[in-house]
Amino acid sequence: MGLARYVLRRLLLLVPVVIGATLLIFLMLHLAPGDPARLILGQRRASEETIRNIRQIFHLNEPLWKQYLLWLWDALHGDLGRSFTFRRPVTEMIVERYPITLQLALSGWLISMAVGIPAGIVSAVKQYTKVDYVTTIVALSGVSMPVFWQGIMLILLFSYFLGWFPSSGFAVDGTVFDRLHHLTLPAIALGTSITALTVRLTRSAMLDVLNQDYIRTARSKGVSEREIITGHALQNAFLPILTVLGMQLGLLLAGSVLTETVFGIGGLGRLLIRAVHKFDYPTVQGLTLVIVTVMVFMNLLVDVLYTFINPKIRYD
Amino acid sequence: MTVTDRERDRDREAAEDALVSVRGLEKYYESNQGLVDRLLGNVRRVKAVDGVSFDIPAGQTMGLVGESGCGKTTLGETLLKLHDATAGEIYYDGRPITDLSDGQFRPMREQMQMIFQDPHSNLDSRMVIGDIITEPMNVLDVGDRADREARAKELLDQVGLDRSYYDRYPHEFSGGQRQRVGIARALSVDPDFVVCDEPVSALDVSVQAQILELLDDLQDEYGLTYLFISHDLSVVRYICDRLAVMYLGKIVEIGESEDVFENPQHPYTRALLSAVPDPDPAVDRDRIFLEGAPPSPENPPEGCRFQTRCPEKIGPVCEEAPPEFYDIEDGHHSACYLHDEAVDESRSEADDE
Amino acid sequence: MAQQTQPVESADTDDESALGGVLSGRHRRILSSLARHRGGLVGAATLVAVVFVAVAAPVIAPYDPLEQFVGPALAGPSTAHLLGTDMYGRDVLSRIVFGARNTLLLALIAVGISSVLGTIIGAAAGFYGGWIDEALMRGMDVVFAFPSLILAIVMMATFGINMYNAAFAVAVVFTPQFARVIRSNALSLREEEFIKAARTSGGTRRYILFKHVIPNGISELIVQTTINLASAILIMSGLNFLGLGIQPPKPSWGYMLANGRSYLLQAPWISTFPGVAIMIVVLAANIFGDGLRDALDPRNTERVR
Repeated sequence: MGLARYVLRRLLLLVPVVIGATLLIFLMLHLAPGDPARLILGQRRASEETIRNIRQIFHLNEPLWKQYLLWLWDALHGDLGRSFTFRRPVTEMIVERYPITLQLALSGWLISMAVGIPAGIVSAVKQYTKVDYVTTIVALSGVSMPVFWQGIMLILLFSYFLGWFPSSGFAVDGTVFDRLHHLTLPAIALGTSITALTVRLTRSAMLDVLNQDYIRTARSKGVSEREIITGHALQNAFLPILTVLGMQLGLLLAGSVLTETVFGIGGLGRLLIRAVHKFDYPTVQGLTLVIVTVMVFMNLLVDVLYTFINPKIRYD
Repeated sequence: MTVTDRERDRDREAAEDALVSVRGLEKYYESNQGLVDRLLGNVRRVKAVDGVSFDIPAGQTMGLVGESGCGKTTLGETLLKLHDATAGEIYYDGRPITDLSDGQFRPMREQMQMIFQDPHSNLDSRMVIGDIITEPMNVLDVGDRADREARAKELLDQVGLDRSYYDRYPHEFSGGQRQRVGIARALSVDPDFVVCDEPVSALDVSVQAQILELLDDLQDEYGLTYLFISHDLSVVRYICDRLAVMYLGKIVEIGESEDVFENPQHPYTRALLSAVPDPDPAVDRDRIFLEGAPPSPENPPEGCRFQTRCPEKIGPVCEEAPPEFYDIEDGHHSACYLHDEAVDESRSEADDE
Repeated sequence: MAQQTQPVESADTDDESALGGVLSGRHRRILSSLARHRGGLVGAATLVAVVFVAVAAPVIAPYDPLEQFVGPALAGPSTAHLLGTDMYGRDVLSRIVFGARNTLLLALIAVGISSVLGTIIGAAAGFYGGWIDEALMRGMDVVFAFPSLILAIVMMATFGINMYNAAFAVAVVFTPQFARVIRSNALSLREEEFIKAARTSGGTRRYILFKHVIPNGISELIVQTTINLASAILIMSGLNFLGLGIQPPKPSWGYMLANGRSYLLQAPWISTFPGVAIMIVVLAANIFGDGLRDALDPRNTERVR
């Protein structure tokens, strides 16, 4: 199977998932108890005429399957409907807020890589030593800590007691320094929550490679340990580390929701929570659609990248 | 000489006389059966069994030998309808069973049972020995509870195990003992035909002999018919009346066990036999070494399947079409162009030039 | 074909421990190996202790968790109130003890539902194969395409915000994970000879599924349950924190934590201690799960998935 064929296969495999997921998101409104038109209007009181208008705009008079296709068609053209709670088009709100979430997630991920990969390598090289045990325990504690609690503890220590970083907000229009200043604590909180996964995967990938015959051969030939680790092991351990990216993306997005809530950052996550609390269906549907699309295609990208680097697994 | 009409008649009679009879049986596997892979044409076909015919007369033991991966286990499992045959026909006691549904075939399972290869996986570790042995009777609803228990205990006796093992778990027993439990399970519904799939190959040599002896005794007592699958010729010789040699999904030689052993015709059979250590050190045989591993059944060679490794390959004729069976002596056939007089003549002419 | 060395015909049948009749060899090995796993033991002991606290909450808690002004508002830890009081003068320790009850119960319900659903789906998919497998697992892929917390949050918008819907949402989120583990187990079992033996005995698919396939996946199921329990508690606490799970005044760790944020400077204990409680339980479940996994397969200690 060539790479192009493999990508085609993966894309085709995605079709049922994408149909299923979009159908699920579409059906949210119809599974919820009550008249969809009134649900869309949220807590606002409305006249019969407004309701009629809503039915018209949201194609609610059409058969369900046609509604789905129209909804999907509109979404593909960037029209995710209108929020009556926030009195704005959903797409506009998402476009406005996504850079904030993106910056948060990206910096969280970078922190996790910067801490997790070296920790995993050290842990693997010094397997069954105190360093290894301590790393494992710290990583396990990290994954067991709720990200929102960690955020609160960071605020308590670094904002309230030490006063080093601001406790909330996000300097959207500020200088780079301003933004970093605001981003530091949330990014640390978010990053820590996924670091354990990075450490674990790096460690096991390194151990796998270090136990390979060619590494033993290199050792017996007197190649220095440093050279073995940087020259051979690290390169080959990179592949499995890549796979974790897909898993971490979901955790990062979910973590962003909590982190944004703790630090009062106006990103996509906070918008989602506010919309859920107000039962603002168009906003919730639009946000979920965007998140799932990002998830699905990032996972595809990771898979393709993985096979591109390592053609062997195409034949699995 | 190929099979003539007269012989075809005889063949039909033989099929009717035999307890188990197989005609042109094929079992192909397909990998990647998902919808997307079908659309993309990623499906790979493995010809595990590719046109096999033979008869097993009642009360006899038919040996089936070949290297691992040649399709012999698949063949045995297809006979018991653990897989659906791709083509061909299986007759049991003259009755075609290939197209029977699971439900239709179910009552016949009382007559056809199987003994498995791996003593570590043939028994469910979560069940006691008694439940394991009575399982076929429970499933097929043979007798009542008390009958089943009595029968199981009687069988424990017969296979040389203590009746008190009834309530114990498989992990408490050795490989040979577990194999005995597997035999008791197969016999619990009083079958006529038993497929023995490498029943001793995972056992110590000393234990092997005991199990073979047990199988032999049980055959006499119950008048059983066996299909005995093995990769080990020395084991097969001991127990079989007839013998079929299989290579890459096809039978290459078939005949009375003694005939095949004493007068092997197919180059593959000869190679296999040469690898069996002779108990008589005075007999000095030349060991025939085969080059390479068997080709993948996914992509078998053109013509004769064995031509890529054959030490006696004649030439292009072997690569053109798969050879038919040639009669060697009564009931002894070999599928090799070496036995074709026409090919032989043209070859000697070529030699003369 | 490798000749395996077998014990001679007379195996060690006399050497039968008291457990021998009840537990298979595998189980015995797992138990003894778990007993040697120090981390696993600590995790197990902690979990048992937490469950005890949850069950005996009314006896253990010094005050009524809902009663206001059992002490002064926002009072720090003291002998009367070991973990201090909140803004309404409620005893934080008592609320944490009762919070354990609510959080654990909901997480257990959620994981229980998802393990049953996932087992049936996974076993059916792996054992039947073909289009059943295809349909079921593509369905699971759909659920898996959503980040778990986000799916749970979105489901709350659809079905309404209350604690039972929260438990149901978490159950849906974890079902694919169970299904995948059980499916791969069923797939490998399909080739086991005792399954083939059951088929030659005429066992129907359903018989084999429930008699052999599912019972033989139980140990994998237990490990998966423990590990998912840890994640379920985290997600459940997240929902509570966001106000989408257990509704006040019923005490829950997540909501207490969220509520304490406004008083972080004056009364940091309100937010701090519920978080510590969550961490202890989740850590214990994670360590116990790791220990179980190690015990199940000694060679598997290094593998993550």
